[in-house]
Order: sequence, then structure tokens, then C-alpha cells
Amino acid sequence: MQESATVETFLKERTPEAFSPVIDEHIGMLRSFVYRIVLNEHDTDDIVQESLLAAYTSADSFKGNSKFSTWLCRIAANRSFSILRKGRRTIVTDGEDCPEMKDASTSHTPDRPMIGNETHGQVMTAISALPEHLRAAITLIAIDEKDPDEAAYILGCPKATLYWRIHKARKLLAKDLGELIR
Amino acid sequence: MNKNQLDNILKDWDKNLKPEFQDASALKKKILSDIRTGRKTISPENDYFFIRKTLVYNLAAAAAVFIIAIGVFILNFKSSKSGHGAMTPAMLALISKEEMSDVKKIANEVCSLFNDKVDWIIRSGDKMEIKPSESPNGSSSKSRILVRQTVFRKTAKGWEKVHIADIITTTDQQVVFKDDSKDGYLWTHQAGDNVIALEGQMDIKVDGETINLDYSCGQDTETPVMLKTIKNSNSEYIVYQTVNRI
Repeated sequence: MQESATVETFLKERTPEAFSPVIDEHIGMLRSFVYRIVLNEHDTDDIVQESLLAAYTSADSFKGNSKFSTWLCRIAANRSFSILRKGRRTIVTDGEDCPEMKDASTSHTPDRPMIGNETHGQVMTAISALPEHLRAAITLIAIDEKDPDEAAYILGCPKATLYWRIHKARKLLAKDLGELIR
Repeated sequence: MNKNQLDNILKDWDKNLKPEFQDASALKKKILSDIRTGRKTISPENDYFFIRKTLVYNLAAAAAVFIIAIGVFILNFKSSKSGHGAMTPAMLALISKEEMSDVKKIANEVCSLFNDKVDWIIRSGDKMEIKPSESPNGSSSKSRILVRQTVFRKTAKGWEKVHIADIITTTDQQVVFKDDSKDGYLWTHQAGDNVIALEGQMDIKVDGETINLDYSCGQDTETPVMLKTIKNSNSEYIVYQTVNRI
């Protein structure tokens, strides 16, 4: 796998100094990825911190069979599921509690519905209600547009299971968001 | 459902997310400080949080398999003793009350061993595979079903059962079969009061032959359905599937 120069350097040197630019390179991506699973800023940062620390201390177990970023996502996904399970956390949101939204008008195209505050809240509620494995699967495929093999690796499941989770997630979301996608 | 429309809604939702994270440099500082102080952390890639759990599950599964193997042995012994006369494969594929009661017993034992967190159990011959549930809620709330696939071989005396695979699962649960070369699956869905929708892809190995099943069907419970017939120069096989509620 072709890695960025920063990752290559870190894998060679394995020093905190070499890891610093790797953190810069991946922290944003990891935060987005984890946030979509746990939907909580505090837990997200804890997970990102643990995951990057784990990646540093266990860099020798990275065999290069996947991209470094994919490997990081896998560590972070495991940690996220673990945190959610340990806490038996139920993510409850409603439209009013949703974070303020950005101006969506810039991304609006005729075949791409612009979503307003209310809709954003509705989608948030529907996504929050999904079991974490389904949420992770659908966001990896529908939002990140990951390759199914890569998504399956990140989630540590066979591809068939990934497809099933996506199918199930779509079904549940379609049920909850029926009026938006008619 | 319009898949693209749903994906677009999800993409827009994601774009509009605005989590209030602390400054990334503060988080980076913490990580580097952890590294420099040598703080230990989670083990990395491979399902670190499953390690202890897997060990416990493996031990429990080994104990379960041992206990159940005795039951299976008795069951096989019983069924080998019963004569079939001139019964048709469809009749032979019916699951008797005694067999159902044994299946129930096994399902209950395994489920209680795993605190009801079992996705599915596959029992074939003296082999049993148990899949502990990944869901925190387990599968206890759903109704269990038994999907039995029976392979018959034609002999001079009539049809003889040569392979039985029992899959104990819950509806809307995907069962994944691990194979050397590829994964198979079975998915079931409650389609009506007594109708189960099934979709499956799997290989069954019998007498050195590989019978490939690739099907989707709706099936009445307690009514065997023929899935496939295979006829070659040496032998003739027929595969039946029976679905019963547990």
C-alpha cells in the first residue's frame, strides 16, 4: 500500500517526533469517523486519543495489508463499540438538541435535497436510534463511500455481514425517514 | 426506498454536523504527552475488547459443545435406529416432536450459557457452531426458528438421510457460514403468520460431493420444501428444507 511520506517516516523512525505529523494528518478524519458512531464529542476525543496512542505503541503490528488510515479506523471502531457497550449508552437526541447547522444552501442541488434544521434533527434521531454496528456500516458506505472490502476490514466483519448491516440500516432509516425519501 | 436519495440525505446530515470539539492541537498534545510518559493503552487492531470475551466464550462454547455432543450422540443413535419404510423424502424431512424437543433443549442450554446472547447455532453431525451475539440486547426478544436442511441419497432400498444441518436462528438474523474458500449465508424473515422468507447461499459437502445451494423462497412452517436435486452417474441426491418455530 502506498502511504504518505509522514506515515512512511513514522513507520521507519517510530519516534514521537515522527508521529506528530501523522496525528496532524489523521486526527480530523478520525474525529469525523468516530463521532458518527458515538455521536458525542467527549467520547470521540477519548477514543481518538486512545486509538492514536494504541497505533503508536503497536505500530509493529501494522503489516501494511491495509492503508495506515484504514488500520487506524479499525482500532477506533473497536474502541467505539467497546465504549458504547460498556456504557450501554443510548444516544437520545431530538431536533432541538441538534448542533447548529451550517448553511446548507451551498450544497443544495435539484437532485440533492437541502436539509433544514427540522430534517437534520429527524435524521439525527433516526441515525441515533440505529444500533452502533449498523450506524458504522451505513456511514462508511453511504457517507464515506468506502470500498466494501475496506469497510468490512474496519468493522472486523465478513463482507456478507457488512452488506446485511447496510441493508438493515437502510430499511430502518427508510422506515423512520419515509416522508423525506418518498 | 430510493437508495441514492437516502444516501444524499445522510451526506447532507453529515455535512451539517457541527460537533464542538476542543482544539485539535490540545488533543495532539495530550497524545504526545501520553506517548512520552509511556502510558499503556488498549491493544491495537484485532478486536482488542474481544480478547477476554473471546476466551470466555471459547471456554463456554467448549463446555457447551461437550455437553451437547452427548445429546447429539443420543439423538443420532435414536434416529439411526428408527426405520423409514417406504417413506418419501418429504415425509422424512418432517421434524418430529421428539426432535423439536431436543432442538429446544439444546437451544435453551446454549442460550442460557451465553445469557441469551446467541445469534445462531449450527449443528451438523457431531459438529456445532455457536455465534455469540454482538448486539447488547442479544436475541432473546425475538422468536427462534429451526431451519433444517436434509440431504437424501437414493439407494436400492429407497431414500436415505445422509446429511442433516440444523440452523437455530432468529428471524431477520443473518447466519454466516465460514468455509475454506468462501462465506455462505442464510437470512430469514417472518413473512406471515406461518410463512418464513428465506434467502441462502451455501455449500453442503456430502460423500465428497459439494452441493451448492443458492435460493430465495417463502416457506410455510413445518412443511418440507425441496431445494435441489442432483443426479450423476453414481448417485442421486435430493435436498429438502424444513422450517419450524422453536
